[in-house]
Amino acid sequence: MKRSRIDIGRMRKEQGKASLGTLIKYGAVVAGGAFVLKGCSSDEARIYANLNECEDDNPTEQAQCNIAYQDALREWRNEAPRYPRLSDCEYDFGDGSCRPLSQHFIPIMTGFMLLNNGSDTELDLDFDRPRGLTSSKRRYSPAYNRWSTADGALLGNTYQRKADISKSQLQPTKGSARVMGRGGFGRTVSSRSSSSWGG
Amino acid sequence: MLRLPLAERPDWQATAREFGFHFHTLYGEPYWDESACYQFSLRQIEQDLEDPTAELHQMCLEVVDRVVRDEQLLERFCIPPAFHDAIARDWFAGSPSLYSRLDLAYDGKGPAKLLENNADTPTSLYETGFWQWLWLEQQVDRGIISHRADQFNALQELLIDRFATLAARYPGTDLHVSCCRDTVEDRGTVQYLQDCAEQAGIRTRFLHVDEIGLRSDNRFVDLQAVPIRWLFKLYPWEFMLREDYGPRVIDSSTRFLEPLWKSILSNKALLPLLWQLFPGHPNLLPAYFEDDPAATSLSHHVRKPIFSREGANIQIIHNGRITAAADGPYGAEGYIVQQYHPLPRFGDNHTLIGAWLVNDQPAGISIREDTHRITQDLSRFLPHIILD
Repeated sequence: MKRSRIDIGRMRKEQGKASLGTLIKYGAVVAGGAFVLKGCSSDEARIYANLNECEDDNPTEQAQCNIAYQDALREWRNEAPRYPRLSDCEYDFGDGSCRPLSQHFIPIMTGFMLLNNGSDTELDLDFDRPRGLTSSKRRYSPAYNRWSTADGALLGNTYQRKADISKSQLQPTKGSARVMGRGGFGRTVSSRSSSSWGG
Repeated sequence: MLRLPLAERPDWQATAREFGFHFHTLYGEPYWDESACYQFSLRQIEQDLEDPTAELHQMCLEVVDRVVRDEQLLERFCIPPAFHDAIARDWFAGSPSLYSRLDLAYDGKGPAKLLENNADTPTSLYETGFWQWLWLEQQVDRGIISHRADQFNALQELLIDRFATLAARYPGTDLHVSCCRDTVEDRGTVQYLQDCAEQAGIRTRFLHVDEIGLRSDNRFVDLQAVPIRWLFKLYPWEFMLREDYGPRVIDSSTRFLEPLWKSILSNKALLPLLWQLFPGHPNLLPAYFEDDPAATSLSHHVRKPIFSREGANIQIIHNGRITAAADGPYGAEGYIVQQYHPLPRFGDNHTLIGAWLVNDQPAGISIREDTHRITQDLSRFLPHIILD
């Protein structure tokens, strides 16, 4: 058999109703909910050396930890310093501390940081804006056993799990995030005419 | 491969309403056409279509791997320089893809020939994955078609499996889906993908492409200002890269379906590159960039813009004379030429086969018919069966 098995009941839309019905309902619930952006900013951050530490610290938000960790890794690949040669990278970060990435080498992300908008006892972590961290094993490096961001800001010893970032170079990412605008995609379509943009 | 006239289901329009298939008639012309169907042998399906589809896809991936490493080729593909690194990173990071459709010329004998690859925004998905499937179920139930008949159509099942795999990769992540306004066909396509994603346990949210917002922290957001972590966009990368938010894609934390590297596959420059890497391959037609001196060796050829959809701006040229042409808005980025290979004719109809893949797995076929030699978006969709 070269055909799908299909649960036909799940494919049936209600008689006479556009398939958009459920979406519109769902959209209304979302719009009515409390999606208020945080206006406050924070000077404190939590640091996790790996996903497990984040999950242990936030047992009810393990999925969030996972997403933040993956986001941090992804950002890290974009932000981390790039070296054309492995030896150059290892000179700065230590033997075995670098990995290849599209014909370059970058230091391995050995931790990540989440801003804390809450207090020391009641965390309110910003899982949406993780930052990847690394450190160096070279004694001569300023980042020796110290947490370092991709752009080289130093955040204290690697045994620490908190950081004061008020004076660091992280200013651009803290504070509230505003919606700057919409409509930056979709313009090409209005200048052409077709029933569909597929092919 | 035969074309069989067949009784229509008398109640199919009511069934279409029941299942939410709203675009079976477009501009007053029939789009879904079940007054006939195509019949294939299992051997034709497996040896002539399924296996070559898998192979062609792997060959296309080799082209991507070649192009991302080569600045000059990226320019040949009209990828804006600002995106060269980002596309290479996306490729080397192995960003996962969802689906694509190869358009093949095949007449039941001889090897199928690749005409093009719709790798970024293929449509006619619902008609293929579900609606023609339902047609066969009902026609068999009613005794119109033999119960031994099968169909090459695992599309829906593979899509749900693929979404389940991706869901495990991004646990708890909602999928935003997006298409343009005012197109019932595109909205139907993304609704179908939402249905498939939800059957895989993924929560989905819809918004139009022009409703996507940008936050001060460089995150794309939906209408509730919720960050878009994962986006399916039925909107071509070649447009997005040239629009206002295009540069924001480069450092975005949003994961895209299709991924950015698909901008290389959904590009007609793929065709000359395939011919260059796999010259003489039985499933390929000779193809060249128009300014390549070798292009003059093709006295009978099809001229295609680097960016083109739904057959727009395509010309068939024989000994320097245009013998068929389709209008459209494309062509500013240059052209490629491909040896003319006529579509098989069944009566007055020119027949084109769409061979679907989910990720890298062949997933089924769809059939389009047009009375014109160039298949466009108003061509009719016909179902098929496998019966030996």
